[in-house]
Amino acid sequence: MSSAKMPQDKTINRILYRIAIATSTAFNALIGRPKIYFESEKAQFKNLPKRLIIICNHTYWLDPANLSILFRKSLVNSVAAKEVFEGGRGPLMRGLRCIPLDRSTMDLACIKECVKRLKDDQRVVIFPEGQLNLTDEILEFKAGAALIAMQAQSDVVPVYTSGVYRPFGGLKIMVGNPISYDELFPQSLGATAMVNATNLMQKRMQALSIGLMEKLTDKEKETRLKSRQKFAEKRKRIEENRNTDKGGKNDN
Amino acid sequence: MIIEKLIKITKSIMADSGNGIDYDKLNEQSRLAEDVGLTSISMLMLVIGIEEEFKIELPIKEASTAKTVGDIVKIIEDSLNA
Repeated sequence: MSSAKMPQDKTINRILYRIAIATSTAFNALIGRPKIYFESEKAQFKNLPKRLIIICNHTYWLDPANLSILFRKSLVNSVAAKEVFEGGRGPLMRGLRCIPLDRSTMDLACIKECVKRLKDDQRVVIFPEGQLNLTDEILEFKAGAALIAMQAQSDVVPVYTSGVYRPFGGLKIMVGNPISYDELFPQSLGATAMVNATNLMQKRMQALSIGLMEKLTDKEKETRLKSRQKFAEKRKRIEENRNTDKGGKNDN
Repeated sequence: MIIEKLIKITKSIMADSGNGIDYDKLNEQSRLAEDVGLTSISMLMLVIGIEEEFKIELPIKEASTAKTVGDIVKIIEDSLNA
């Protein structure tokens, strides 16, 4: 069975989507309350096309929910690691039309599903670093976003988030100028073009991260650092517990 | 026939790489990484190209463990005969 297969019942899908959007909107109003900056007028939500790949740095599992709200001019789908669908967050992820990605293999089903939804003039959020990243360095982008953009003939908009989720605000988001399909693939559509498109996306994301950091006050930078450290420690504890559990099971 | 189509697809994917490989000399023993110059992303492009050309769905797990052009030809044959 395809890993990207969605539940068959469209009514249930619609209800789940509405609940997930309502939950995410409430969350955004209370906790995220993001302050949004635009690189230029071209980056403003009203000027973005319906068919669009949104690439974003990934700092927290709620990023898909947040981006689904911000970019909901047309249906937004996020690519998310298949593991996220397995726990208590599963219903929210499914409700938000997230597309499961198996990171252990070449997940062609996920790529095809993304292309299909883009061709239906929907939007797809991709985290091209391929994992949560709590550092200020942008990790090397995976080439999946470029491949999907090529297949779906889609523009790409880079988004950089400060990644501070705390009650009553603190999240800062910078939306970059969209990169058109022609700019991504100016000449050929081969493997080297794919690498060049990936490098271009990464370069634009790096510029965006510098742009956003310049907008933060010293206090905001300090809050961001503390918040990230706290989250990194929490993740480390979860990881350690997980490894301990696995060790225990192996002993048995 | 299959190998000819496969080489044609590979050439179109790798045309802009400028790696100096003569793709017309590929044969079933050619190694995908070392001799063809495929990376993970170009391998994905190849799979997509094969699926479009032959109107089949390749078993991705088998395709991702293929080492040679011959392995890919065998997977295509199996899919066509399935």
